[in-house]
Amino acid sequence: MKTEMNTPSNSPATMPASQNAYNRSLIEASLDPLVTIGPDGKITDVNGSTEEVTGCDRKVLIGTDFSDYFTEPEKARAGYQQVFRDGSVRDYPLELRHRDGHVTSVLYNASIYRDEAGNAIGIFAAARDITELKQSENRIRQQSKEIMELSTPVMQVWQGVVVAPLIGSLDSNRTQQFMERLLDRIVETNSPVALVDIMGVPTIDTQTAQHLIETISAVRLLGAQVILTGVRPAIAQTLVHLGIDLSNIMTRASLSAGLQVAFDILKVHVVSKDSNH
Amino acid sequence: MNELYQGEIRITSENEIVIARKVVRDAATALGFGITDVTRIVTTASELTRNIYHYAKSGVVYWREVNHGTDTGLELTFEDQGPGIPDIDKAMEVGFSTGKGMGLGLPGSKRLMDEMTIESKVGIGTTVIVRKWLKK
Amino acid sequence: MASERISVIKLHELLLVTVPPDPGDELISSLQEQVLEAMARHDAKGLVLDISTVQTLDSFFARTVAETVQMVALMGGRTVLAGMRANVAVTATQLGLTIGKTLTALNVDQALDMLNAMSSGACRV
Repeated sequence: MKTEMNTPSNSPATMPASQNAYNRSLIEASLDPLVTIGPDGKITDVNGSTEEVTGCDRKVLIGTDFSDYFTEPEKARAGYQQVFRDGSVRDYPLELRHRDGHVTSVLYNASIYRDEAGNAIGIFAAARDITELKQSENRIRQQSKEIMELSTPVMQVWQGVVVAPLIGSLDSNRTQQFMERLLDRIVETNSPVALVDIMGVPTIDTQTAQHLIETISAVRLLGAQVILTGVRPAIAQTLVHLGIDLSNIMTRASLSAGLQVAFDILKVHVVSKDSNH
Repeated sequence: MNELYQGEIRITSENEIVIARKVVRDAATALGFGITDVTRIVTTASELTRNIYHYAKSGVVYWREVNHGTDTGLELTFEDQGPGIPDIDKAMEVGFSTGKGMGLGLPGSKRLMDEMTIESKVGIGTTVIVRKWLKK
Repeated sequence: MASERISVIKLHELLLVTVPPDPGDELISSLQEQVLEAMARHDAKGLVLDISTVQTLDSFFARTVAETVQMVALMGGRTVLAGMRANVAVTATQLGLTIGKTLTALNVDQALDMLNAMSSGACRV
């Protein structure tokens, strides 16, 4: 791809003045920072929004390296090289640095612009500010995380015993998160017994059962054991019908029955203060 | 991180398997992967680097940061000029092993990573490319 | 490359082996030899493999451990794998690693308790 630096026939120099002024006013009216880049990677033109977002006057910007104004100059360079190669690039993420240091997250759409003969003159690039979008995304992500943690609590109920009630259905993602939280808590609290209560799991399919079995295997590798509690009649039926082998996993119908087993394993003897003898 | 992160490790002996693990661990950590994902990536690197050494005695491991829109990830490439894999489908069967391991290297790596492609020609060599993306 | 040695400590009739954070293949293989040699030398009844600092558990390591456990059993000993890290356990499970009937414990203390309890006759699994 040839990029020629000649005076193309549609450059400002050869256009009627009113057309030129009109085009220019459009460029300056754009709220998006616009920039043109020459084949050598140097800025050839900017609009007011670019001056604003960089905090630099256009006289300073023009003639300098495009990549100088980003937190990752190599990435910016790779970006415009890609445009020269492929003709255009969309949604290329970069972070613009203002003179005073603060950073604006942007997505770049850029393409080659040509003269009437079809020769490439340079790159025309438009940045979209996604700072607010990113902030919203971060907020949502944080909230999702919190919801995930709230819905899969792992609580230590006794020295050596943690309880993890599962509520709702288990998809791959949720199981992954659950598994990691459960294992971390087991290690943190040094608990050899974990009660995983599935009373709140509405239906169980092969996938979910596989995920549960995976979790139980992982807990075993750590050196702890899982007692599956809250196995409702409907779930018990489904598991057997699906042909899922839980024969080497301890299960109980209720959480309290599971707790009793936990106490047996830990050799804990609970005595009621209220004695009727 | 100010540069597009990448590098390579030449495999010529058993010692490079540990080196590959260390380099990949540093790269994955620097990219911001959480501890469990770092472990997944390093374990994959260990399995596939050992495959190179075990079957081909020499090869190269390439690693680099990759971007896709606003997503960032780590890509590892394992290349050798070894005997090649005659039957890729069979090699992906869990438990099938012609060597030192448990037959988990390829199918296991596929489970641990987000993407995997295998290209292999008998008598020419094998290239395995895996990618893991930062969870948002 | 300087070769680390794996530390093997005798605790009464048990052996405690501490595996370093990122052992190379050569060291892992020599672990097997060292363990069996120590089993014979001390006539030990059990072995605790402390993997609490191990960061990567791949199929080669797992296979060597599984073999070692079998060999120790043939020599009349029981093995407990102690202190696997949470992230390692998650990855190992996803990788598909199995350790069969090998006993596991959250830490070295619990591993030693387990082995002592088992050989004291009042055995519960």
